[in-house]
Amino acid sequence: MSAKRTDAALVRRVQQGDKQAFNLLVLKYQSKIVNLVMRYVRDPDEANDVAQEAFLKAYRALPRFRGDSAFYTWLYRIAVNTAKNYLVAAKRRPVEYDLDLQDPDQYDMQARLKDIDTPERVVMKDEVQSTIDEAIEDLPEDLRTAIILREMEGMTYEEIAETMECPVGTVRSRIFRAREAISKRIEPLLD
Amino acid sequence: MSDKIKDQMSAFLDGELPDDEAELLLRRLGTDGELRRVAARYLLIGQSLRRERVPALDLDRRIARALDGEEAYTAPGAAEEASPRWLRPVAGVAVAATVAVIALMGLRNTGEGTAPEAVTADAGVAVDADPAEYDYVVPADIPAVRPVSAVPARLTNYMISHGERAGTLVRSGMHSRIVTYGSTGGSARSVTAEDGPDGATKNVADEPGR
Repeated sequence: MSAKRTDAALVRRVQQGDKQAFNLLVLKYQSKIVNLVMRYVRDPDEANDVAQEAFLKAYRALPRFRGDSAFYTWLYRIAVNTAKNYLVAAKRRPVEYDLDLQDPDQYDMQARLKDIDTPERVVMKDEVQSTIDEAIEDLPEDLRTAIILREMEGMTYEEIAETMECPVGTVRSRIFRAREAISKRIEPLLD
Repeated sequence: MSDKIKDQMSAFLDGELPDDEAELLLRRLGTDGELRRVAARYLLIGQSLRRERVPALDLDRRIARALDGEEAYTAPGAAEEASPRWLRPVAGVAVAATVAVIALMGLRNTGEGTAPEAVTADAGVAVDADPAEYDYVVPADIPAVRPVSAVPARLTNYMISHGERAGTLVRSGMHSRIVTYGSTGGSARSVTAEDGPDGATKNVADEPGR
């Protein structure tokens, strides 16, 4: 529910002419879309091309998006159709998967992907990943619990507040402080 | 940047920010490169915790570059948002007055008592939609109005984006690829509307029902 609210606000901004808002949607969903496309298009470079095409098609179609379905569901359908069309154009048979488009997490759970990174990028990603893991370990217990419940369990602030027996405002503050603490640790790696 | 703004971005990404605050934050997002980098780092942290794969080949940067060639949407809501509510009646009166003055000038220039000629495409008047939709008759010798072009806006966006990057990016790291529209090399290919599978080979609708 909460992701839908964020997406809806971003979509509205894009429809009003704000391209930066679309960039945030790209950042949010690019990993899921590439993973999804790679189930149809196994070549990593081709998968990135198809994912890019899917995002561009979504951008062009956004004025007609009325929000009857969730943005991510709509985007994933565009990505699946773009991938299928790509394979038809390349005269290759699409591989069908039994996916529930309502649940984007399934895409990651079912992913069996090749590594699509250069060695340099793999090292960089490993460094970022290990720094984030270390930063999480170094967090005070209350901050660590709050961000894990949010990011990994997908709980709302209200649910986290019930679980941690504290006010919603405290949950919001803890999650923010956790993100900031981790963000400061990875920022030098990303500059 | 203040912690308050970053706290708002954190709550927004979780869908927990009140709508009015979200609206203000998103307006700021459009012009604040540092805020975009903060948002990108927060998203990266979440993806990393969930062990999601971050795409290779600077996908977001390629998409942003390709979008530079796309027109930004101008929904009716955006136009309304551009001017304060109290100003709208005044603006309406101003437009009406301008039209009246132009019409009077046209009458004088074409000679009193003579009917104004219909404007054709050659007259230099900007027409940004199907001419068939218009049924106006205005003097032919109105000084040509230059069509509003999206190019200056695109150029401005590009210059802002370039300025943000030029001073900060020394090496090409993963995050810099995530949060910026780079021109720092790489084999990224800009995709246009003509690229990709299309035309006769297309047998599946790309855009799902809404």
